Amino acid sequence: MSQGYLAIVLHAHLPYVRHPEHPFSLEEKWYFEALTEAYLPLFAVFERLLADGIDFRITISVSPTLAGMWQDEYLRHKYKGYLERLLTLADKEVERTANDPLFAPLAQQYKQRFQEAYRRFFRQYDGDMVAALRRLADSGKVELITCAGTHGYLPLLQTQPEAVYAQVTAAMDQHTHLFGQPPKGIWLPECAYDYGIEQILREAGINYFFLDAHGIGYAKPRPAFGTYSPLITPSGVAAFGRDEESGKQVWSKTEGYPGDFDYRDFYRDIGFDLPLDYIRPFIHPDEIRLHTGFKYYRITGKSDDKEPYCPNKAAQKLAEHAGNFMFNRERQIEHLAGVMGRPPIVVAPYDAELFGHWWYEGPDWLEVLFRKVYYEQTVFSPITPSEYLSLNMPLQEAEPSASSWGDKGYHDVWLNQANDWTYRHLHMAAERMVKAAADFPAAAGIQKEALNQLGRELLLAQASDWPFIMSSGTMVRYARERVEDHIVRFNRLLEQIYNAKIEREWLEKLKANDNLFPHLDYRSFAPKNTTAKLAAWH
Amino acid sequence: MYKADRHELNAGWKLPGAYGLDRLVLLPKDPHWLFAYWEVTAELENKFRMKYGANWDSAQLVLRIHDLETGGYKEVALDCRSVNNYLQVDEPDRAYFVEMGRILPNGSFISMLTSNIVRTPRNSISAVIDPSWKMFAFWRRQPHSFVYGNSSFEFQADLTAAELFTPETKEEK
Repeated sequence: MSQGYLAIVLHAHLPYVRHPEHPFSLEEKWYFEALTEAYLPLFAVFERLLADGIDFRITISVSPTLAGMWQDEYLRHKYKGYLERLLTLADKEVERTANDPLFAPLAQQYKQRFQEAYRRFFRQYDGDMVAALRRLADSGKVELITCAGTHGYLPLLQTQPEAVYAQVTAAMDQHTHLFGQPPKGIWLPECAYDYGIEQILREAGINYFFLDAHGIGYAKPRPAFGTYSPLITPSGVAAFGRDEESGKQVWSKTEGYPGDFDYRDFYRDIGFDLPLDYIRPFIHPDEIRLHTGFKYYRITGKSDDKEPYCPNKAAQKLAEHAGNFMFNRERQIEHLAGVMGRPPIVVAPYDAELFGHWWYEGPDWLEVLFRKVYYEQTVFSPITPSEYLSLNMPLQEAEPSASSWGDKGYHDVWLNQANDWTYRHLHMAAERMVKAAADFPAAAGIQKEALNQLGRELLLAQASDWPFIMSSGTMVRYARERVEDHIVRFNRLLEQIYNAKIEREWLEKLKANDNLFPHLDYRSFAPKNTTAKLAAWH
Repeated sequence: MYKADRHELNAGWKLPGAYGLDRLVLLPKDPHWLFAYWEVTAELENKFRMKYGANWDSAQLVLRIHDLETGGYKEVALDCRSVNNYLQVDEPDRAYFVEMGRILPNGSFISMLTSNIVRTPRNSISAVIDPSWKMFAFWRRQPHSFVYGNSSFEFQADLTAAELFTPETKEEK
């Protein structure tokens, strides 16, 4: 009998970065890299665990922008070209390193990995990541949840609760459509919560969400079990808190596993190291050097002197780290179970893209961890949040604190001098969208198509990724333009709708380009008698 | 596959500098900071100008930050050209709203716009105890402080930053 539970949550998200208007797009490359290095290897891990009868549990939040890109024919086609180029480079690398005893096996390994990605995506899955994930979910060991529509930063959109509601329902509808049933839980973008959001989640039919540790820790009244039990929020939706200890072991750049000196270094890449003549076809068409994915060195230490990567040593290390993580959870859960007198839940959420992309060994670590947890200990069991809630343990009622998992713990990253200008446009557009939904309650034909597209432009403008990138200081122009583009298209379309002069040809272009949420219904923005607006009065 | 062009899709439009509406919007930033932005139309200014005459434009523009629990307020002087401001407040877990107005030479405050209400996030463990729930030992390490932001920022920032190494490639596509 388990003394407690471990819920590992992977948050899979990339912004909607589909750019048919450019032959080469750096942003699409993020997506292709995440597919090749993170999502496909992670799916492979879960398939192997299932095949071997390992009783594991994982919760995956699939952001609707990511799912939308998975579904997109244009991106599937373009991914093929990306992988084919990568495989050409792999052949060149195998040839180039043939006489190098240290690098030859690494080049071979990369070639195999990229071949495997190609085989899995195009042959095994027939390009359909959603179907592959649905099969995993059917096993009952993988729980799929959703995220807000375009990963909007909800606390800063709440001046129009309808906008938050529409973010949530767009996500719910897409999830239900793609995965066959509505999600029980939601990953709030950036774990960001503000008072009243739980009301909107309730209205949308969500059972649970997650908060950073202090979102639960600073709940009112004080939560008896801390983050080791979910709370029931005033609306009846459960809130799980992130465990600080297990978070730090993986996330922390200084103390976390991914920084181990034996692990593969992310930065040293042949895209930067090899002569331009050799690498030219595989980098930016303007000859800007980029990551290619061929990285031959290990982290080694803090200096720039890097030693060759040794896969065997890294494999040893990741097994040690998996054992260490398990050991720490055993001791933690034993202790908590004793103190609490009931089984605690330890919630460990991570960005899915960390596994495999940034932390090369991450997917293997996760696989070894689940195998060890299954075979080598009896203190705790992996669990999904839904399963935990169905244990029907009494849960304390409390109101969480506004919070996020971003730098400084609140809304700073998404609200500062680099990005605060966006909100006057986003709020105005949201207000006008709500009004338009009220003014045209039963639109039909082209008017309805235009109103639905209006909703898409608003949602795309609201992505938290744009203010995040503005804060981080690189690629700022891209993020600025994304907000600008969608707001400008929104404003123009709105004018055409009210003037009853919708340009069919232009609307078709918008629909083809900004094509997320094909089933979006503009009426999801209709004014609501929501109590969320009043939450600040407490 | 149809290839669209960004400017074609934007149909030559640009972000508007203003929307021609009077509004004052308040956002929470952290337990001690709020952010307010506003738009004041010439029509609204004129309305007050007509009423208060020449004094109006020389009257100090201020934001009054109202504490809904105490009913008290404090004032922050504004530059009349500003369109937003970060506002420091005293209390976490407190409802605030702001009012924009001018202070006439006779000292009276004339309100022009009122914001929405926001409540600041909390930054400490609640003193409110629900007697039906026994408190457990892990709360004894007081003051219990949480480590913030031990998550995505550094990694996510790397995901984008690592792509563009050299300064000259910044901002380029």
